[in-house]
Amino acid sequence: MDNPDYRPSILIVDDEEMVTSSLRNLFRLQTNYRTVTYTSPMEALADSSKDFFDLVVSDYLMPGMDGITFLGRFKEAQPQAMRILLTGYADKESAIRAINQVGLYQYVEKPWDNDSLLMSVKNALDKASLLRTLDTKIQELQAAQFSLMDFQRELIRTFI
Amino acid sequence: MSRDQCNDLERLASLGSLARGLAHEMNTPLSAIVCNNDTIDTALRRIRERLDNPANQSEESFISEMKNLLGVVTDSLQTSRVASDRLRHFIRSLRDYSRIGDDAQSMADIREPIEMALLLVAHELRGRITVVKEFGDIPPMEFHKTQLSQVFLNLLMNSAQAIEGNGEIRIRTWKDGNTGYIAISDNGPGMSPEVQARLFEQGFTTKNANTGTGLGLPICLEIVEAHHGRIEIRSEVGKGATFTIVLPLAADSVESERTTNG
Repeated sequence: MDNPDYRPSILIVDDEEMVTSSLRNLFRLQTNYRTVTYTSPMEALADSSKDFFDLVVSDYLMPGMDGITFLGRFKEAQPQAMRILLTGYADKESAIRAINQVGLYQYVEKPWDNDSLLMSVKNALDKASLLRTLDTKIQELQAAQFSLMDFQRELIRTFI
Repeated sequence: MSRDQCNDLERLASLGSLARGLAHEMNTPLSAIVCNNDTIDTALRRIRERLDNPANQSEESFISEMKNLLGVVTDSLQTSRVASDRLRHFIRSLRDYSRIGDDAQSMADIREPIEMALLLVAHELRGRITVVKEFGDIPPMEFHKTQLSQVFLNLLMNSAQAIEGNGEIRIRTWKDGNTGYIAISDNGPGMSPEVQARLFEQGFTTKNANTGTGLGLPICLEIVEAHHGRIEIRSEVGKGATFTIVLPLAADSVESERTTNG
């Protein structure tokens, strides 16, 4: 992160409370991330306009809506958020399809290894931060280009 | 081969087809336990390090850090306990269901074999099928728990396989006089009268060779009839299906209820 005081926000969605609380405890111990958890993807979507997230970690198999559909819809609401899918072994093929379908950053198999999950999350957040910086730079360059064009117009008006 | 041996074989075969789902279902609590063990380990190591090498920090910040670390340990242990209970419950159901030969008849709550079957088919339903339970009061009754859970598992699997895409399975229990009723309804495509007429024929199946042996329902009927009960079917094409298990309640439970009612 460019700003060391920046506190990334992570949304965790899994219909099993034992999974969301395990991840919440892990992030609480090992990181300074702010975590918000939901056990219903529909509720997470309904609240998606209320809070901004850098990263979403979602389970695949959930009642009412699968993780791929959820991440796809969440992408519409918050396209900047990185997306990680948690899957059981049996869902691996669906997860691989989702990589293209919803622009998944990565899929992680259950049971996950804490260190590699933390690493994946950190890398995803770094990528999000880089993209944000890039976006800011592009906007700055565009602004600079516009002011140059203004200056150019003024030069032309003055001398020609 | 005796009738009981045939039932045992069918029951074990149904477990085989569920194996992938069962493994998946156990993976969730296992994942939580693995994650929490590691978290607790790291938190305890950090506590030990702080105690061995007290850093230059105020007493206040030391206490707050310790409280936070102990909070993580407590929360992680609590989550692991929930996950272990789930695994234990699951494994007990699996063990009871795969028991061979010694399924003695005993007084029990009819909800027990229903819940056991639901736990074992959970993965087949998860994410796709909503289960609605409307359990009315049925007094404890005499039955073979493993055998009846085999019946419920078969009916639940049939419903789950009949429903294409998302759907609902409704399980209702009630009693009327000296009779207990357990109805399992689905909102799948339903069955024609011709299919219904052949449901209890051995070897008859509407499923493909990988999912249906055609032995499930005949065995269900045998088990229910051995309990002096019957299976009623109500279905129409396009309107789902309801299988109702009708079982006589034990005479003494009816007696005790008469006494209660005065």
